Formats: sequence, structure tokens, C-alpha cells
Amino acid sequence: MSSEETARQGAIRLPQPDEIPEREKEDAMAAYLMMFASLAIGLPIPLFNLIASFVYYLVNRKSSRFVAFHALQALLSHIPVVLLNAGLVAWLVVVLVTGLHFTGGFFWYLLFVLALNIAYIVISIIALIHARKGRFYYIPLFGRLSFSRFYGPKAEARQTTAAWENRPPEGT
Amino acid sequence: MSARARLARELAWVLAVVAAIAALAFGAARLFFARPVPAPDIPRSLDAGLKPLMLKQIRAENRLVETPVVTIAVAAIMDRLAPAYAAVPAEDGGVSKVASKAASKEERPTIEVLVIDSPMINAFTVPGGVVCVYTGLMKTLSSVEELAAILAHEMSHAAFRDPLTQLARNVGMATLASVLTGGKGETFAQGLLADLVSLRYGRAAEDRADEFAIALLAKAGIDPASYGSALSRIKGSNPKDLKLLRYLDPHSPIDERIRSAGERAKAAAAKAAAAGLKARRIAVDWRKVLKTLPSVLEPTD
Repeated sequence: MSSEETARQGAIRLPQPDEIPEREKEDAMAAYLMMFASLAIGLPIPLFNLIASFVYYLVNRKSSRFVAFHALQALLSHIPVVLLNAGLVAWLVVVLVTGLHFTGGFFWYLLFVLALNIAYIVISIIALIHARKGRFYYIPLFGRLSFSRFYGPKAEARQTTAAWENRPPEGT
Repeated sequence: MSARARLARELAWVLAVVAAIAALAFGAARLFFARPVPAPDIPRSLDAGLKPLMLKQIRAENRLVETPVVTIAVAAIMDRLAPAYAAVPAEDGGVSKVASKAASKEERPTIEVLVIDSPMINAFTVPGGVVCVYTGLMKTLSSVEELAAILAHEMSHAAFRDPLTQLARNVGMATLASVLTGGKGETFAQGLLADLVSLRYGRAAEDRADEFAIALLAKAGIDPASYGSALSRIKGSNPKDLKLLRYLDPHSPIDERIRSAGERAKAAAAKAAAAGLKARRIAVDWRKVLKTLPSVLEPTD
């Protein structure tokens, strides 16, 4: 596809997998691993995951667009899951501390959050594999938000570093 | 299609998928936990264990009225109420779903009634099925059927195990259990009793107890309208400051309770009439009972 054609269609030329350095691929993959952050330190506080994701995004948002895209996508998709998990932990703590009983509603919520977490982990692993191979992967909604942040019409104006430029494929 | 519209469409998809997962989880939860955890998920041994402790404490702190006239009157009421109490199905009341949380017929504690000599207008239930009525409350009532109605209401709390549930909420399960293992002594029993006397169960619990009580009265062949009139008597006994009446929960407005009691009594009476049950008076001379009640001083507090 010629560059004129690209411009006419308003499309954006994305970096191809072989154009992305190994280091960036690994960084992008690591963004999805942040969901296991609190597992690593052994705390049942789901918010810690979110903090880890957020810090990772802050660190990487200016390094490379590819990494930044994946880091933001991982962060955004993490927010609802973490909030729901935090709700579960809070409910559990309230029940245990006040000596109330578990109701049917609690089990419903438990199953709901469990199913959502499994779905989220599966999606994250798919995204992680794609990132490792240097590909883009769009989680519904969050992928779109993240893409428009770093590749959308206004992204050019926000570019600050040379690393953000699309380099031509090597060997042409 | 604009970028915003695409975003909205994806948002809708994501929400739809999450809602589908929630619905599936709901179905699964209903399937796996078809018998939801019974309302008070507290071992029944705790009721039985607390009963003797509380009985001892009540006897230590209060003067009980055990004159023949009062004892016979209470026995006459319980003769009617006890068989009905054992027979009201857990789902009865028929109107609301909450009633289904009553203990099944076999698990209901047998009821023991104590009359406490005190000017307070109060009645309370002790875990394990002990119902205590104050003479102050009895004196505001105008018929033996009204006392039966009050007892029926307290018996409903026993059937729903409200006292234990509420106690567990107030002081915690662990504390309650520690009483039984013998760690804490009399002072603790004292504290628990003080809690019990003024325990408030909240609107929903009072509502379902009202409902159950009316079903119980109808089943016992006692005019269910006497429950509403008993509430009216209590309300009329101290119009200046209703808050002084510990029997009334400020969270469940008395007027509303009287109104709904009237409606439920009508429905229950119609149902009983359809089943061929006739309301019969309890053979007790209420005036005589009131006369023999110890004369107490006016409330000082």
C-alpha cells in the first residue's frame, strides 16, 4: 500500500513485528503480567495490581508507542476487574469482621467475579502472546481507547520523543 | 461510522458480555445454593446453650410473677398458641417471601413464658424460646387476646431466631461462642441480657414477625384483629413520648404497623373462615388477672 493510499484512507501505518526491537516486545508483554503483581508479594489486596499497572504505564508511556499502547490497554482493562475484586474482598471482610452470615447474593457475586477473572486472564494471556510476538491485539473497548491515545488523530501532537516515530521498514 | 459510535458499540458489547456472565453466575448460584444459607447461619446448639444462662440471669435480676391467676392465664393462652405455633408452615403468612426464612416446624424451639414484675412497657425474647412479658405491658392491654397477640409476635421472633441473629450482629459470633465455652462469667451474661431487653430487630424483621404472628393467631382460633388493637393500646399508653416505649422500634413506625396489621388480620380471618376455623375467646377473666398483678410504682426513669 503506497503512502498516498494510506493517507487517503485515513489509515495509520503500524510498525510490523519485525520492526520492533526484542526489548520492546518483552516490555509490552510485561504490561500484562502486572495483574499478577499482588500474587507475587502474596497480598490479597487487588488494588495493588492496579497500582503496579499504573506505575508500569507511567514509566513506559514515553518510551515507545508500541509498549505504551499495550501498557495502557493492560491498565484500562484491569480497572473494572480490580474494582469488582476489591468489592469481593470488602464483602468478605465485612462478613468476617461483623459476624454476619453469607447470603445467596454473596455466592452469586463470588461466581460472577470468578468467571470474570478467568475470562480476563484468558484474554490477557492472548494479548500477552501477541505482544511478545510484536503484534497489536485489541481487547474490545480498552484496545480502542488505548489505540486512539497513542495512534489516533491527536497522538501526533503529543509525540515528544524520537522513539515514537514510525521508522520505515529496514532494508528498503 | 464515527469513532465515537464505534466506541459506544464496543462498550455495549462489553457490557452485554459482562451482564451475560453475571446472569450465568446467578443461575449457577441458584443451582448450587438452591437452599440458600438459612438466615441465621449459627449453630442451634448456641440457642440451647444460651437459654439456661439467660434464664438464670433473668431470675437473678428480676422478680417474676408466678401467682396462680397469672400462671393459669398464660397457660390458657399457650394452650391455644403452642399447637398452632408448631403447625404454622414455614412459608405461611403467605404474603411475603421473607416469611419463608422461619425455622421449619421441627426446628422451632418450644416456648416458655415468663412474666416480669416491672413498670416498663416491654416484652422480649431470649434465644432458645423464652418469651418475657413485663407487667407494665400487660397493664396497658385490655383483653387476654391482646396479650396472646403480643406473645404470638414474640414467638415469631423465636421462630425466626431474630434474637440470636441480632445478638451475633451486635457482639459477634466469637463472643457468643466464648460464653458457652465458659470463658466469661456472670458479668457477661448480664451484658447479654441487657442487650436482649432492648434489642431492636429492624423494620424487615418486625414486619415479618407481625405477619407470622397474625397467621399464628388465626391458626390458633384467636381473633387476629387483636394484634392491631394491642399495638394501638401500646401506642395509646404513652402518647407523649413514644420513644420511651422500648417495645416499639422507631425504625418501624407504629401507625404503619397498626394499619398493615389491620389489613393482614382481615385477610387472615377470611382465610381462616374459608378453612372453617372460628375465632373463639380465651376463657380467662382479664380483669381478674389485672387485679392480681403486683401494683408497681410509677416508672421512675
